[in-house]
Parts: sequence; structure tokens; C-alpha cells
Amino acid sequence: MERWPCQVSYDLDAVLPKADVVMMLRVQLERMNAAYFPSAREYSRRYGLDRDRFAKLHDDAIVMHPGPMNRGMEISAEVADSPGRPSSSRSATG
Amino acid sequence: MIVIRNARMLGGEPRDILIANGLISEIGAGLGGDTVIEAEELIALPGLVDLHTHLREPGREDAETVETGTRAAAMGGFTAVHAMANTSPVADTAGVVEQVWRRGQEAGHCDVHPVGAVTSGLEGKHLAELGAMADSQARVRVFSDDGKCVSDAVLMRRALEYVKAFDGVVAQHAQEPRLTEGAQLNEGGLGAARAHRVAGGRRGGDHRA
Repeated sequence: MERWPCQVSYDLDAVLPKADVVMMLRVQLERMNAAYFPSAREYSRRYGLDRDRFAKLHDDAIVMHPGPMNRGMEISAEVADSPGRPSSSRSATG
Repeated sequence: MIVIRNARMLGGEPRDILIANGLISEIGAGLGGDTVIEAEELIALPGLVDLHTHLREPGREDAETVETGTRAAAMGGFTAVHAMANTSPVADTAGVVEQVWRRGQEAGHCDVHPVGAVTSGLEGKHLAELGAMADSQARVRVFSDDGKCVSDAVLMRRALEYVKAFDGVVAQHAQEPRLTEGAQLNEGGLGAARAHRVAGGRRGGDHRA
């Protein structure tokens, strides 16, 4: 990733205020054995888009998710079902 | 104000050290204070840090406790110790590392930095909640399955990648388990000369890990 034209951060809370688009990943529970992270609980705590993190976004930011959403995991139900966002059109187009 | 007189700084020239409010406030010659400690022929060092200790608490308080271990550490000039995770229960959650950290605070002899397990239960199968331990009050930054080797290469790689998020390090107990089953002695020249019927660990056992 060092050669990609992008910046990499490990601190989600620090970068959210600057983000125009937050692209969520659907955590593939079937791939948990590849040991990418310790547990669903830890992933949700460290990287989950919950109400507090959602509040850090500026007014024109949008949240996208490829769908289907694991509510309570990478995205809280509150955020997932909030009016207007996230945009989940990717699951319609595949 | 405490003055330590004529201590050899890092083994070098003797100096006086003035301590006020728990901090070193001056180093020089001919300093005065309310309490004088004569330190001629003694060496003054910064507080030593032990990166690898076993405080055996929780679970093996018959062998050692945070209190006894840190008291011994302080007697030896150590102001900080890292306590390995092979306790019972294993230090693989925020709860256990916070407990060990808090016991260190209560004992008050030196700083205790709990080392977090790399894998749950030290079983070498699943990553432990490294992030939770890092974010806990114990502020864990060193992770190790010490006593055991993280022998799954994928798991070790994931652990190394994961700790980058909070500037952590993984301390590997570098002993490949399959190459050292039942091993008592290294298979080097000296070992071969000394050993008669002792099971040997192949020299490669350490290098691969």
C-alpha cells in the first residue's frame, strides 16, 4: 500500500472529521479464520461506525456500504438505518 | 530535599545529586540537603527496565506476587518491569492486564507494564484482543506468548501487522516447537561434548523462529 496514491492511517477517529466519503467494508464472517483481527467485538469497538464516530463526520460527508450490512458489527443499527445514509447502492449493482 | 553525595555517575566521575519533590533537580558538587545519603564508591544509574519478568499473579501466588516481585525488582535498581502473560488466567484480555497493572500501582515499588498474550489462552490459534489490551489502563505495548512460541506463520504475521496500529511490538519466544520436542540441550559442539543421554534440540530450532 506504500506505493498506492493514498495515505494510510490506523486511527479511524482521527481521520473521520476530514473524510468526505466513508466507505465501509462488510466484514466477511466466513473469513474470520484468516485471523485478520481477534474478534467481532474488538473489530466493532476499534473500527465500528457507531453513533459517536458518525457524529464526527462533517455535514456533507456520505457513508457508503457495499451491503449487506452486519448491523452492530462494522456499523451500528442506529447509523445504518439513519435517514439519507448510508448509501447501499453497491449491493444492487453487485 | 535529599542529596546523594559522591555517587559515580554511570560509573564515571563522582557527583552530588539533589532530589527535590521526587525529581532530580541538580547534579553538581558540594550540594546540600535536609537528608544526606553518602554514596562514595557507589554507582548512580537511571532506573533499570526489565523487559521480561514473571510476576506469577494471578494464579501462582504461591511462587511470586506482584508485591514480592516488584519489591525484589526495586531492590535491584529496576524502576519498571514487564510482566509476562503466562498467568492463570492468561493475560489475554483488558480485564486481566488491568488487574496486574493495578496490583503494581497498589504495591508501589516500581512500574508494572503487563505484557499481553499474542494468542488467546497462549494456545497459538487465535489472536487475543490486542487492541483492547492496548487501549486499557494498562496501555499494553509489548505482546508475547512467552513460554510458548507463536509457531503459526500466518498468525505471527497478522499479529505484527495488527500491533502497528498502536505502535506495539511482539516479543517472540523463538523456539520452534516441532524441532524441540522433549529437548533438553542445544545440539551444538559444547552440548554434544557434555550430553550423554539427554534429548537434543536441533540448532535450527531457534533460527527458524
